[in-house]
Amino acid sequence: MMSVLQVFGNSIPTFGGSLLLAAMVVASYTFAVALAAGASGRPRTLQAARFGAYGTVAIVGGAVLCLAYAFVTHDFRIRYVAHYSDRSMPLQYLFTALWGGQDGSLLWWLFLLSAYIGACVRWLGKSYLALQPYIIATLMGIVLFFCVLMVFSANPFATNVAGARADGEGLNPLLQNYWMVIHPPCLYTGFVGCSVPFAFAVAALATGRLDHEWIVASRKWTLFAWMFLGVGNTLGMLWAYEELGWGGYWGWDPVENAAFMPFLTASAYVHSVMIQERRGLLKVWNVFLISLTFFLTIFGTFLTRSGMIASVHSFAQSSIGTYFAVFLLMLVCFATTLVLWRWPELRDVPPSLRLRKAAVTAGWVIILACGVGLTSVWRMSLPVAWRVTIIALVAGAAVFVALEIVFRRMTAGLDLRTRRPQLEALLSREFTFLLNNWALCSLLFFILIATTFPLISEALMGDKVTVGPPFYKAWVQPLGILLLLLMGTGTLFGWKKTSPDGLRRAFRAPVIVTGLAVVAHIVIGPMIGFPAVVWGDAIYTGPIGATLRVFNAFTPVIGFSLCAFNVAVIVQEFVMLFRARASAGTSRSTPVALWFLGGLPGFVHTLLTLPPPSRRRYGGYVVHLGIVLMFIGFTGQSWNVDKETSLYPGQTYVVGDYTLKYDGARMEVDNNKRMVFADVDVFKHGRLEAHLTPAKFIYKKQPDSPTTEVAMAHFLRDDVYLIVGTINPSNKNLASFQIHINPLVSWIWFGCIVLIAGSVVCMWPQIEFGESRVWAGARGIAATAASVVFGIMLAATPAAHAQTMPGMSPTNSGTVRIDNDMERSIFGALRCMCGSCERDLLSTCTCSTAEEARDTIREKLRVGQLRDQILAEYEAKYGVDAMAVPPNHGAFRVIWMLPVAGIGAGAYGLARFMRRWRSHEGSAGAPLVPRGPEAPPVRDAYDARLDDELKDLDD
Amino acid sequence: MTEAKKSATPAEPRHDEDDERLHDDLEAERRLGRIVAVGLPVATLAAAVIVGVVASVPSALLVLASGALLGAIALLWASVRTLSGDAPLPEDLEILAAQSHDVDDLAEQKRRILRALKDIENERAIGRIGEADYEEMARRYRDDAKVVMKRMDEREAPAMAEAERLARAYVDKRTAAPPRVEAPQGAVALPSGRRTCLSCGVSNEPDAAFCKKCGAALARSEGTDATV
Repeated sequence: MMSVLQVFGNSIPTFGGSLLLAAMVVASYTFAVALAAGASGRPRTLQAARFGAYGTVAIVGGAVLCLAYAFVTHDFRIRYVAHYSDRSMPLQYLFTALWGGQDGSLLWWLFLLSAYIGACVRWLGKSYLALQPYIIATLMGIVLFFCVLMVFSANPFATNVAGARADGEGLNPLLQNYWMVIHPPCLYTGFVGCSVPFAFAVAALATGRLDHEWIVASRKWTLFAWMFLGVGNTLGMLWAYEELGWGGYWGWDPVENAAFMPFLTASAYVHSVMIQERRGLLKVWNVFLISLTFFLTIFGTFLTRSGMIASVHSFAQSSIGTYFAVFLLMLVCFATTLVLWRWPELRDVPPSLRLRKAAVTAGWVIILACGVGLTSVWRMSLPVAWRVTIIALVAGAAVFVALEIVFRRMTAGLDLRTRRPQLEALLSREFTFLLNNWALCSLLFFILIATTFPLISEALMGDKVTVGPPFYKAWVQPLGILLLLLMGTGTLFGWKKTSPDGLRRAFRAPVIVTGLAVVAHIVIGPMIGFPAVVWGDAIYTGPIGATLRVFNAFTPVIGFSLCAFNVAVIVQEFVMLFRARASAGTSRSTPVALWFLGGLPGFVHTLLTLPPPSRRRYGGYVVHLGIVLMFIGFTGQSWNVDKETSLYPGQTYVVGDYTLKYDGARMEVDNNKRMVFADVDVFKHGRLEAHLTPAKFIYKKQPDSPTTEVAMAHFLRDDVYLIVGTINPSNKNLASFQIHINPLVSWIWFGCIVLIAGSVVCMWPQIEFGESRVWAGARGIAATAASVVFGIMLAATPAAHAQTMPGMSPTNSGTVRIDNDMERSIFGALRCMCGSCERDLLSTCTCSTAEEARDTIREKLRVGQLRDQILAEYEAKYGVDAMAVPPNHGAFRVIWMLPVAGIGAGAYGLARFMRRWRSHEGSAGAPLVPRGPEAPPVRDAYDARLDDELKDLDD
Repeated sequence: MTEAKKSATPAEPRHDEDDERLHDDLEAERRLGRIVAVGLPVATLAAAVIVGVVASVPSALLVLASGALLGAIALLWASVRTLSGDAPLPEDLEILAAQSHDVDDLAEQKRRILRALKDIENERAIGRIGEADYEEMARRYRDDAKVVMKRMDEREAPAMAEAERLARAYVDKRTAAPPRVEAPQGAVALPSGRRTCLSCGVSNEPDAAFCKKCGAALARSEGTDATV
């Protein structure tokens, strides 16, 4: 037995590599068979393709298991294993290393994709037989890409040229912690999950079955991926907050943005798709959104993996960028051609080959002409600003021409008006959903431009300019507020049409609540440490900077009152639901006993037993509630208190409501490090609330760079986030502390739990006919219990983890000393220019260059220099790139002008839509019946049938 | 072993019990497939757990990996056999495939209108639209729905009449003649488009010219896709 194992172990690098090749071959086979099945429509071929898909899944699973085996047996001949693990790592972190580095994370991605494929093919079963072949083919195409990528460029089984090493390098300590074990798989689950709805969309396009079928089919998959994107992002925030030790959770890093962008498009999609389901509108838009979501998941990976954009998460630079670029290009061409080919169906025009050819040719001619035209404009010797303006105008005009003229003319002579579905009224949920799509896409566009700005600025000015968090904070806040507003108001409108009366009634209570919230905030807020208006620094000098500053100063009160508005809206919705059910007499189906168990089980049971469309609707409101809670947490950021102090043992320090008492320092030693703890008691209003032990770990291997261990206490109102800077044993254990009081952070995590619960309600499987009430109730209770337990686990683990496993998470070494608010403001506006700290600001970077730069600035402050003067000098010394926010002059203005122009264009497009719809207002879509003067309704045989079908619709 | 039996069958004489045996073979293969589909993962997991406890984690991983590869082999075998037409399909797959239809514009319109009616009903229930607005919109949508339903009825009328005629003819025949339905020529066209050989009763592909089992000629019969 042992010898067999040895023989196998010896050949594992070759064997693993061959498995990847095998996966490639089998995926190709399945791809071909699936296409054949699609072309012939024969169930036999389809069945073969299904088996092939399962086979691919099995082989990929085998490959992952081989890599896991290599990790567990410490096979350091394999480069990836040697690079990301060592002999001392515990088992669970050996598994973490599977996705800790570039090559492995690609295999992990492929593995998750396979898992999705297996689940999806299984779920499809004998339904959607027409769509299935193309769904399988699309997914296999994606598998093929990853196989090619790994086999030719990033093979996780590649061996070291120099042979096996005695020991590996070990996983980056930052990655060796609890959150790193669960956050990437979670996020990847979301990322990879976007492939499935995309495959459904491609299948719908390929078969021309563009009715509601594919949307219904992909609904749960979309929601699932969306949920995991949200949860993955939140867990990423938790990781940054717990481990990176700078007191915040979101740094607008390219990797974070890359994960956030698909979430935005997916959110837009789950809303707009409801309109298509109901009205048959927005077919092109939905296909575009879902393709964009998938594109962004790959694009984000490309951005951060190719090394084109600096990020704290940077993977080593490699050649995979080219592969990604080619894949993305193919993806865009493929999706565009497919959409153009199906243009007639998508626009509800009777299809014909002539139209298809015209659409594809015209579309591509326009795209290519634009490309050529824009490139030639680019080559002109004009000032940058001119070139950008011309390009923007030409591109905008081209899109306009494409949409408005060419396709209009092509369909000339066809009576579109009667065929194409229309909106009923502006005061309807449909329209607010469009507004919400517009806001989400605006936010996306902004983040996209800012994230890719290093590339844009390099192309424009030959200067790679990085965009720091202050820029995002200033610009994204207004958009976030807009979204929050739309989220609330959208809920208050009904489908189809809202009577002015009903609208007035719907708005009354929430508006009153909002008004009360504003007043309460202004009056009570300052007393409890949450003032309504908080002034920050302007990111630009000049009117734009001033406007942003004024708006953002009011963010706390606006944000808080809008949160109150949203909560009021949601509560009102549920009150209306229960009132309607009570008057209809359906509420009795919920066992009374459940209500006595504290209300929540009864509530959940009611939600889960609603007919599916209503359940999705009210589950959506629960999701909204989660997002509102998260927004409350984000608003809390405005009131952060950051202090720095030095204390002798026994001394106390008062910050806000909290009194910190430094008890003393103690040292513990283990095998590979010395740990110096500072014991601090946290009192609030004289009562002991928590005992914190921030620490410095001094590893034997690197005695010169002690690592910093954060300690924090979570409360409902604030988090006390404590970092110890230095402990000086020669001076009676004098210790320097950084104290961050971060209000309301816990609400973010809590909101995420509510979000999960809401998504589960939306995805809850329809209870089968014949299933007994008891069983349905049991499932409801089980689901509630599961989500609550999951939530509590999520919420409780950070605290428990911080207390029990401090040794597992050496965070950044060194600390940043910031003495006063002026320093904070200046450091926050400048980047560390040492060349190796990619995106760090002087306010967070701990390297020695940053320390020197800070000392220089302190010196300047001491001699009385002003903020603007110091910033100007720093910029003069290091160049534009040294600023956290790109300057507001010349071509650098592109960074905000482009998104603002895009948002404006979106608003214009929306207004045009609005006008067009308005001209049809009052007609219920296609006017099928000529409507004469009011005729009394006459019941006929069809009425009875209609009533029957209506009754059966939701059951 | 099933393989050997399969290759032997075409040479054997055509008998009824042979037909039954073939049916049993197919049934046995389906059963085998089901057993492997459930058994292999379960056996692999169980073996991995046992090995993991008794020996070590690496060995357990190896067991899992070999299980995955065995599964891959079984699946590819199934895939190729299905493709070549040797393996049986799940019972109702062909029927379901034959039933799948193209996008139905009218049905889609009707669905949307019904959805709209339901939506406004819900909105009225929670007081979002007033009674007058509801009445007006509901009437409009109901009128639209009726138009669509009428159109659907008109569209389906010929098919319904044809079905009626066929059913009547069948009933008449059964009451008049002995209860055996004879197709005019050598093959009966199933609704799925598949053709049943009249000599041996085996179901053949829709485009088959000769029976795959007995080799008898399957003559073209008209009305392959009679809608019943």
